[in-house]
Amino acid sequence: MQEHIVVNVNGEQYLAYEGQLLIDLINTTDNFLPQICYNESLGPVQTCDTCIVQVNGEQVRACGTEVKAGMDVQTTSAAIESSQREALDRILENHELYCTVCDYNNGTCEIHNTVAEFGLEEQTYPFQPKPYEKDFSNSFYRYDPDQCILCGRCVEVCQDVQVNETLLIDWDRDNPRVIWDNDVPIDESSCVSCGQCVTVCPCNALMENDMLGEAGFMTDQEPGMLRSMIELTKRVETTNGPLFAISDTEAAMREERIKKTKTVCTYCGVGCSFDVWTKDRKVLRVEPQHHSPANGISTCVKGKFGWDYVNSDERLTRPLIRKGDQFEEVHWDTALQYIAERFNEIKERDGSDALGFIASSKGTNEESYLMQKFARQIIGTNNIDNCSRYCQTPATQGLFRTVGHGGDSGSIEDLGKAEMVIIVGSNTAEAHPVIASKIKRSHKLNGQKLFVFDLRKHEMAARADRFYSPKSGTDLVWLSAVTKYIIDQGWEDQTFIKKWVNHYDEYKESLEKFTLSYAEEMTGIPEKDLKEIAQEIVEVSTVSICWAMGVTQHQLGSDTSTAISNLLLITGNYMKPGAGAYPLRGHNNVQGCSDLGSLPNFMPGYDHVNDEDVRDRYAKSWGKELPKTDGKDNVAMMDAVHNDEIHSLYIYGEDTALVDANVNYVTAALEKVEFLVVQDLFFSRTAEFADVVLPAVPSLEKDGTFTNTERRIQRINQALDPIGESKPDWVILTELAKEMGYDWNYSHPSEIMDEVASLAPLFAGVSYDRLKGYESLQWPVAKDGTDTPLLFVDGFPFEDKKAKLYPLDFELMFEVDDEYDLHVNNGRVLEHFHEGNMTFKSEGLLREMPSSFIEISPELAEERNIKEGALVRLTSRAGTIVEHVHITDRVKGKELYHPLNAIGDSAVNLLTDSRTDKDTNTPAYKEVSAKLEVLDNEGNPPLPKHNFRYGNRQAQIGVDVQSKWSREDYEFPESQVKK
Amino acid sequence: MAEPVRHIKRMEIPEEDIQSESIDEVLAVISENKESVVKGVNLLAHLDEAGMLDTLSALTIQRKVAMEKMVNELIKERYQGSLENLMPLFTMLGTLNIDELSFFIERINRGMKDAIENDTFEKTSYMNVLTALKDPDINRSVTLLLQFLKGMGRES
Repeated sequence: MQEHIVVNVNGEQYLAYEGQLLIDLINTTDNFLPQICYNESLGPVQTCDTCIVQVNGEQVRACGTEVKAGMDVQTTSAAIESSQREALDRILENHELYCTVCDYNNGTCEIHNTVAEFGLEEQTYPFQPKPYEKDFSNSFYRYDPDQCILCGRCVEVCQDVQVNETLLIDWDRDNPRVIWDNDVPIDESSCVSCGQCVTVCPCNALMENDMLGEAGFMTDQEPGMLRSMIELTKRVETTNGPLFAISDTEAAMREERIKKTKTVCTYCGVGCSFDVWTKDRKVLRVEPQHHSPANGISTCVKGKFGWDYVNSDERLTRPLIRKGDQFEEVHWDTALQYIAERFNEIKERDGSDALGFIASSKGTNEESYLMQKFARQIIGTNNIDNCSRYCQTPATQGLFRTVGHGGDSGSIEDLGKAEMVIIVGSNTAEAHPVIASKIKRSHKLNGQKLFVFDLRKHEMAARADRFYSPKSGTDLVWLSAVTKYIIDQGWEDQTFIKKWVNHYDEYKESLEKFTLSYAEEMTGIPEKDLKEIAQEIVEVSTVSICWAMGVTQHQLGSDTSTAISNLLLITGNYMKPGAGAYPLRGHNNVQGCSDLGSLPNFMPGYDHVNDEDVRDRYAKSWGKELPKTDGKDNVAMMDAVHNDEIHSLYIYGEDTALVDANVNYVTAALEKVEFLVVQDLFFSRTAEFADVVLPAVPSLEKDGTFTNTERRIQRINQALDPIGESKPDWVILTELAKEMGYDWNYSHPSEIMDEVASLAPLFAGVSYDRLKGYESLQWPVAKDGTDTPLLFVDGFPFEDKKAKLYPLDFELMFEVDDEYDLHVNNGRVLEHFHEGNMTFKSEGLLREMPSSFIEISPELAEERNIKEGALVRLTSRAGTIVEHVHITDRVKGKELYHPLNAIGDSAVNLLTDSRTDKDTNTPAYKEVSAKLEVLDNEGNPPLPKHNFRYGNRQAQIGVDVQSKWSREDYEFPESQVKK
Repeated sequence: MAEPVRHIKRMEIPEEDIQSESIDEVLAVISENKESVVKGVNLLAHLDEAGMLDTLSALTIQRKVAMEKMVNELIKERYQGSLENLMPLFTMLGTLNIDELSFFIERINRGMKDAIENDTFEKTSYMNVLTALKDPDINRSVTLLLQFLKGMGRES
C-alpha cells in the first residue's frame, strides 16, 4: 500500500502519495496548469518551463517536483502567471501559429490548446525562424526545425522509451535543434523509423508524411502559396483569439472527414493497439495511446507506417475457380456451391479424415473458432491446425509439461519490472521491437540485468551484460547445467519447491549428466562463466526468460523450452510479478489461434478432444457428435497428402507453399492434393496450386479480437469497407457452412465470442461488452469478468496445484560436416514481416530494405574472397538458393543468417528440410547446413546505405536539460520577469 | 492434381450491369431522402436561375488560381495597414459607447446639413463670433465642445 500524504493546493487539501509528481497531483484537481513538454508516458522532461507553480513561496516546475507532506502549493497569482506567460512567449518565439493551414490542427495540438486555455492573446516576442531547412530525407516522417519548440519529448522517447538512442538536441549551438546521430540527415542516421518521436511531438515539428497536405481542408498547397497564406493569416489574425476561433472550427470540420478507429497491429505478437486515422481509404496516421495496454505510446516502423498493403491493387477482389490452365473470377454463389459439393463428395467417398484444415495466426480468434467448428462439426474431423505449429508449439509444450498454461507468465510490464531478463534465441529488437524497448529501458535506467544467448550479435546481444553464442541447438545443455549447479550449491528456492513443485527428486537425478564440463564441451560456454551465470541468477529476486524461434525451431525445441521452465521452477521464478516464462509469440494472433481450438488435439481453451465430457459439451451445443481421436497437424497433413490419406485442404491466411519447411516437399503435396481451397488477401504462392481462391480482408476491414503474447484479448474494429467483393474470413466460413447445410446464423463476431465464452471455461467471462475501446482481458477470464494479468497466483492448473519438474536428456542432433560446412540460421528483420506479402507492398519499407540477403561474417568473406554484394549459391541437402551477400560482424565464423522474408529463388525454405521437433512436429528451421559456391565475388550491396544498420547511435539519458539550463542566454522565467 | 497457375481471367461485367447496379443504389438513397432531394433540386434551380451555378462551378474549377490571386493581392504592402487594422478596429468597436456616440453623430449630421445648405464663404470676423455666441444653437454647440474637451483632457 502506498502511503498517503496531504498537500495544500490553492488553499485546499488534497491526498497525494509519496513520490507523486506535483504536476500529476495538480492535474487531478480542477486547477488549470499550462504544460507542454510534460507527457504522462514520458515523465518530466523539464524543458518548457510553462508548469511553473509556487511551492512554499518559491517558484518551481511542477513536473520536476515531487510532493511532500504539508507542501503549500499556489498555481495562480500575478507572479506565477507572469512566469508562465514568459515561458509560453519563449515557445511562441520558436513556433509560428498558422493553425488553420497546419496539418496538425486536429484538436490535439498541445501548443494551440495550452495558449488558448491560458488566454495568451498577443505574443511578446516575434517568431524567429531558425537557419535550418526541413528534413524530408526519411521515408515516413519529416522534421521542421522552424516549428520545433525544443521541448525534447522526441529525444526523451528515442533515448529512454524506444531506446534507439538516435535523437539529441544540440544545446551548444547558437540555434539549438534536434539532431540525428552526430548531426546527419535523418535518413543517414540510426533511426529505425519507429515513429514514436512523431507520436509524442506536441506540435507539427515532427509529422507523418502521410498527414502532410491531407489532414486539413486548406493544407494542400504549394509551398510558396502556403507561405503567402500563413502571412495573410497572420496579418488578419493579429491576436490569438480570432486565429483560434477559425482554426478550432476547421479542426471540428476535420472530425467529420477523418475517421479514427481503434485497432490492433498485425505485425507481431506484442499486440500494439492504436487509433488508425483514415480519410476515405487513405491511412493518414497511426496514433498509439498512453492507455494502449500492451504498448503505451510505442510502435515499430511496421505498425506505425506499414499499412500500404491494405490498398494494394494486388488485392483479390473476387473468388477464383481453376478452369484448365487458368483461374476465372466467379460470383460468390458459384464458388461456395462448388466448394460445398467437392467437400461433400470427398467426405462421402473417403471419409471425414480425408479433409484437412489450416487456420491462420493472422486471422481473428472468432475466425479460428469457426474454422475448427467447421472441421469438427460439419466435416467431422480433428485434422485442424494452425501455423503456430511452425513456431510456438514447442514453447507451449514445454510449459504444458511443467506449469500447465501455454502462455506468458505475466504481462509485458513484468518484463520491465524483472531484475534480470534472459533472452534465448530471440532477436527481440527486430522481431518484437516494442517488448525489446521495455527491456532496453529497464536495462538502461533501472539497472536491470540482461543476459543474451544467441548465435548472432544482434542489438540485444550488443547491449547485454553477458552475451554468449552457444553452439546451435545446445541451449538445453547450458540451461540444465546452470540449474544443476544451482542445486549442487544448495541455491535452489527450497521453500518454493516444497510448496509448489512435484517430481523434484526424479528431476534432480536426471540432471546428473549435465555437469559444467559437459556443458562447456557441448555449448562452448566456459565453466567459469556458467558458474557466474548461476550465481547472478540466484542473486536477483526476479528473473524473466524470453525465448523465441531460436529455441523452438530445433529438433529439441520442446525439450529446450521445458529446460527453461525447469530452471525457473528451481529458482522460484514463477508466481510473482517480474518473473516467469515469456515465449514471445510471433504473429498477431498466434496465441489466440491456438487458444480457440485450431489444433488437432485440443478444443477451444485447451480442452482435450479425448475428454468425453468436453466432447459432450460441444455436441450438445453444436448438435453433432464430435470426432474422438487426435487429428493430424500441418506437417502430418502434408505427409498424408503424399500417402493418399488426405485429398482436400482448406487453408486461410497462410502462405503454406512459402513458409513451410522443405517447400519442395510441401509444394509437391499441394500439387498432388485433389482439392485445395485457399483464402487470402493476395494471390499467394499457395494460391497458385488452389482449385478455389477466396478473397479475404485485412484487419482494418473487419471486426474481431486478437490475443497477444501476454494472453491479452483485444478488439479490432472495422475502419474501412472491404475492397471489391472480398469478405472477412468469419463471413466466408459462415456462408460456406450455410451452403453445407449448417445455418450458424452469426451476424457479428461478438455472437461468436459469446458462444466461445459459453463453451470454453478459459474464456468464460469474455464478451465484447468487456472489450470496448482500449479495454482488454488476459485469459483465463472468470465468468464475472475477472482476468489474469499474472498467471499462477494461486498455484498451477494441475489437480494438486503444484507444478511439475520434467526430466530431460540431450543428444546433439545437428552438426555441420565437411561437405555442408556452413550453418544457415534464419529469422526476422525489422523492416519486413514473415514472407513479406504485406510489407513488400509498402514503398517506404521496401526503400529501407529492398531485398533479402545472406549475412556473412568478415572472416568467412575473407576466406572465400568475397566482397559486399557478392552473389553466392547455397546448397543444402534439401535444395538450393541464390542470394547476394551482406558482410557483417553480427554473425561470426561459419554461421550465416538469412532473413525469412526472402522469396522466389532465395526463399529460406528451399534450404530447410523435413526434420522436426521430436515432440511437436515443428520443423527444425534453424538446423540447416549448407555449402557455399561463389557465383560472382562482388556486386551491388543488397542493403542500402541509408539503412539504419549503418547508423551511429548516440546514447545519453533523456534530453540533457541541464545543458539547456547552463546556456548563457537561459534564465529561469521568474528571474527574467523580475528584471 | 494441380500445376501452379498464375493466370487469372477477370470477370467481364457488362457496362449495363455496373450502371444498373449504381442506379439502383442511387434510387435507394433518393427514395429514402425524398423531401431533402426535392428541396435540394429546388435550391439548385433557384441558384441556376440567378446564374450562380455557372459562377460557382467556374470558381470551384479555378479555385487554386482564384485563391492564389486573392492571397497574393492581399499580402501586398499596400493592404498591410488595412489588414492589420481589421482586428484592432473590430476590437475597438467593442469599446465605443454607441448610445452616446449616436447622440454626437446625430448632432454632427445636423451640423453638416446646415453647413452644406448655407455654403456662404464670407469671412467671419472676431465680432461675428461673439455675436454668434448669442445664437442659442451655436452656444449649445460651443458648450458641448468645451465639455468634451474637458473630458478628453482629464487624466483618466
